[in-house]
Amino acid sequence: MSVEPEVPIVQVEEVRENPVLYKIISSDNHVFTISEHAVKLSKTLWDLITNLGLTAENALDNPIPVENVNGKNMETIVQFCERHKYDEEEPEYTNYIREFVLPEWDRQLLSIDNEELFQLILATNYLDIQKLMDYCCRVIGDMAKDKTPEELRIIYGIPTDAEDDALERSASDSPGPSG
Amino acid sequence: MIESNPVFKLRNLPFLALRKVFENLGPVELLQFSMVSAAYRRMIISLRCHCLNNGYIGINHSSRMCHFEIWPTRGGPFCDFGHLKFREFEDRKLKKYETRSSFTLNGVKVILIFSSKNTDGTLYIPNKTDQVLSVMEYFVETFGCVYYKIDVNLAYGNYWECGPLVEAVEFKTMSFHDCGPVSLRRPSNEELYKVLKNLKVSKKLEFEYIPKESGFKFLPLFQSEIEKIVLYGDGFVTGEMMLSMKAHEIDICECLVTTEDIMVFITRWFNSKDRKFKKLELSGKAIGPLDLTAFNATKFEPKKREMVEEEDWNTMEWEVGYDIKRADGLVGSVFQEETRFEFLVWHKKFIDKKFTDRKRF
Repeated sequence: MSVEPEVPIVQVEEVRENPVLYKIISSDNHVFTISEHAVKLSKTLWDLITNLGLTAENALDNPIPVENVNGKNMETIVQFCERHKYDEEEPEYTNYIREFVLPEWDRQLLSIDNEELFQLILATNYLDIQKLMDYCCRVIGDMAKDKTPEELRIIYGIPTDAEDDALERSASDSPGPSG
Repeated sequence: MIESNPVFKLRNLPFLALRKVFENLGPVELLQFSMVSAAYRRMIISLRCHCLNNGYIGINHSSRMCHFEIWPTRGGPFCDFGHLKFREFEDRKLKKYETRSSFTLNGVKVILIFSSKNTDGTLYIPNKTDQVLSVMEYFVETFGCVYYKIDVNLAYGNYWECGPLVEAVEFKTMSFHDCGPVSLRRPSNEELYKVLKNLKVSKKLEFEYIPKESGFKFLPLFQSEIEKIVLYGDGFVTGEMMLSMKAHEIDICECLVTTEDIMVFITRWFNSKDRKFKKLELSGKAIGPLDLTAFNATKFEPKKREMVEEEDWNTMEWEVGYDIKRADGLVGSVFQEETRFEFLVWHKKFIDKKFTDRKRF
């Protein structure tokens, strides 16, 4: 005989479908909508929302301008945050760094041009999104796998000692601000 | 059409990101990065958040001099990052998934062979003491590695080839043992004195070797103040020798120590203010029952006592123990079973399960 539960079971998905939404404007005036759970992944944005006193009622009427991030990067960031908004919070100190595996979806998202990846990291750094920063840095580290020092020099654009010396000399030879 | 940029400007990254990138690199990649330019090497020296930081350098001397390894600190966040092996130069063909990389470390030409299948790499170096030392120094200076352990098998006569290397470096742990065919030549007492005389050990010394000649002298090395000393006595360590030792943990099996010697040891500790001594572990035929009434010893059940987190103290198998409380409050426990004896001092707080059980109900 089965016993009916006294309290009705609330489906978690139903709660998730009615989130509070916020509007973000990128440096090139693209407007993005992001849910509350997703925006919380960015410490910078969430601090801003808290300090501005935005609520469920006035959030969409008060778009947040983010001047340091362009539309392209913001699109990637919003996609990432929406994807990971319900992830379990990870402890700040992970015991075994190699235990974290970059999910395929994220690897695809971050399969972009080097310059774009660089700009995305700057944006991630500014918006303080820990998880995205971890994932981006893993992608960059993976580029070094199975490479010789010469190959690393090419991939990461690293100058030789002679080039570094020449750069240093030319910097010291050039006149300073007063000269 | 805009062409994709083939270069990633690593050095222009914010510091936090740069640090995280290096946190993700394995030993092979870190070594290769340090070889790219002097600026990168300096950067690695300043970054201390990578798998080789405080990495262990261990030499396992069985038959070949250059058999040493470097691996990330055990139990740390990088413990599964793989390791670097060091071997004597040999001309071998690469396997399909392997890559070869040649460079000069501290003036020594080396060849690194690594595989795309795992995170380990093998560094081939010349079999000359000064060059081996230079390579090890590179890892100490660049990555903050530490000389952790040397394992010496005294059964092999050619141990003497690596003698200068062992004497030049102060390892945290040194282990001497005897493992090999009986036919191999064992060192004479004079040869042992010569090597042991110049040794420097900062943490732990294991001498699990039975000298082949009788009359082996108890060396000053065994009396030095180090964290732990393990001796395989085999009838040569007497009570007088044991009482002259200053290690914080002493473990001697098959010794000639008597019940009276142990009483002298406990009395000396009881009347002292020594806060460094941790443990004395002995086995020997001359150890008999101890009379602890002079110390007002109290009985307890070791299995009902919550152990402290010290790895070596988690394995107490004794049924009965006796606590001795010193005037300054420090407690030492005595365990004895036939000819086995253990005396440990509780520097960390312990809880008797019996007490917590009583409180719970």
